[in-house]
Amino acid sequence: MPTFQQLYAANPVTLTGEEYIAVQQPNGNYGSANSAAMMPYPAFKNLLIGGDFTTNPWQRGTTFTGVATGSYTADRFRLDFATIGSGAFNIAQTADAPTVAQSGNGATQSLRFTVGTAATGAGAGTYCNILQPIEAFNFGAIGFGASSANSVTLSVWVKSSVNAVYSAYLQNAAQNRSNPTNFTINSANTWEKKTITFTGDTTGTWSAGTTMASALLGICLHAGSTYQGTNATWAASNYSGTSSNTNTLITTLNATFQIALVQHEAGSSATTFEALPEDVVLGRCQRYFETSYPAGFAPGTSGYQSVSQWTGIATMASGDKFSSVSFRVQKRTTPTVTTYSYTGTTNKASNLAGTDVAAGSCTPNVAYTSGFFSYNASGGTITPANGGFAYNWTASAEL
Amino acid sequence: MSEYKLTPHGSVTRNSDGASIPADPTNIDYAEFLRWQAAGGIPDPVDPPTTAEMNAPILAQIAVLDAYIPRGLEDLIAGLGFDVANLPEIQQQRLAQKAALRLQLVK
Repeated sequence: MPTFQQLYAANPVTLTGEEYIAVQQPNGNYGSANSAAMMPYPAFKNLLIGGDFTTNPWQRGTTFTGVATGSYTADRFRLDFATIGSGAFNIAQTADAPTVAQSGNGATQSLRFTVGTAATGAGAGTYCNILQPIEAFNFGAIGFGASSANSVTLSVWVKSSVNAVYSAYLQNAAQNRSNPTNFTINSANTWEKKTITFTGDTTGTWSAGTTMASALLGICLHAGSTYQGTNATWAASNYSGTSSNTNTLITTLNATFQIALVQHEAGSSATTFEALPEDVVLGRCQRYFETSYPAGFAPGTSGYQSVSQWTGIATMASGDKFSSVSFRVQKRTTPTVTTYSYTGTTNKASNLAGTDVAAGSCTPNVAYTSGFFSYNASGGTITPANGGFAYNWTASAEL
Repeated sequence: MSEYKLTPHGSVTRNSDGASIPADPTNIDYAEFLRWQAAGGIPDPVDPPTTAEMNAPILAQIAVLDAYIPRGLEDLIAGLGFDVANLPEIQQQRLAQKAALRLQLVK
């Protein structure tokens, strides 16, 4: 006997001349929707955050030169590398993406990795990966580590000046379970969609239901032999590539590698990229990183006073606290806080005339997931101008 | 200079960028600090408190007593050679407390 939902879906009712159908919502319940006006309902199926570099807020800036290993560039996307000699890599938001005809999505931006200085001395211990750690609260539902673990599928548009074999990989947070899987860029400087399904890992430790990292999903641009596993095979090691990786990108000056519309979802097939509103993406990213600087401006940029504090007193004594700052979004964990003056100097406030005051005058001292305090640790009294002080800040609770 | 510096609040300052890292092992920066320390890294010690920081709590106590006997009134009493024994006992106690607190101030 058909269920109510099946009957309802098969026999849409007409109300005021429009057709309504049953729609299953993310919580599993059914509701009705106007079929003509119905848009794809956001189900947050993408396990990655900010996978469209058009709506990704790029809170740390949009151009990064000589990126340090372990640094986040686009929100939630990190660059890790090791043993690259004198190599230096750049990352930028780039107005180049697969066309609507190609992807079915109106994205206009991609993340572009560029070899600013070619890596030297690449060897067994060399690797270079663009990755995103996934929080256990988001990844735990996949059920990895259990006998009934679900498969997950990565879909990503890629474009590189070096047509070669690369790999994507999925690891647990401890990096002692890995599955590197090859993909080939067939034509240089051409957008190509790659789809990779990882079978569920039925063993190993995959955190669930916590705020800690559970999984790392990465694109491997280079993997020395230490980091080479067997293609599409789970192993109890830290592997990001295989012996098939061509490994010529990072040793080629000015070589580029771009990614766009990155989606990682449960199941064995890639579905349409889930487009989310920019404000939704921003809020999700701010669980991990938030800044008082305007969008797209790197922390430490000179000439901004984002947080003004009017003290209402003639001076501020050593040890006195500034008013607390409340985050727009609760953080994943107690964040690392950095404060900046008008000129971009850390741990300093400026007066409202735009002049920095003493070193240490605005030093974070207590942080919570909801906000933080900073105080005057200069060891002396600081004097406001135009009635107060100002400073900028960042709060990082990244994985 | 070490890579990190301890603070009196329990947090750690990363010297390379001035970031304030909370003592929370779920914060990846603090986890990295713990790894660094376990590998033999030695952070810079907590700065000794400044004279102003050491005197602040004493000055706060004196300020409370100032509400009863302002410093100006004390000077007037001393300048006139007034015998404080003639003051009410509670005021004598406050004057003695202020004197004792002033002796604790770090020069």
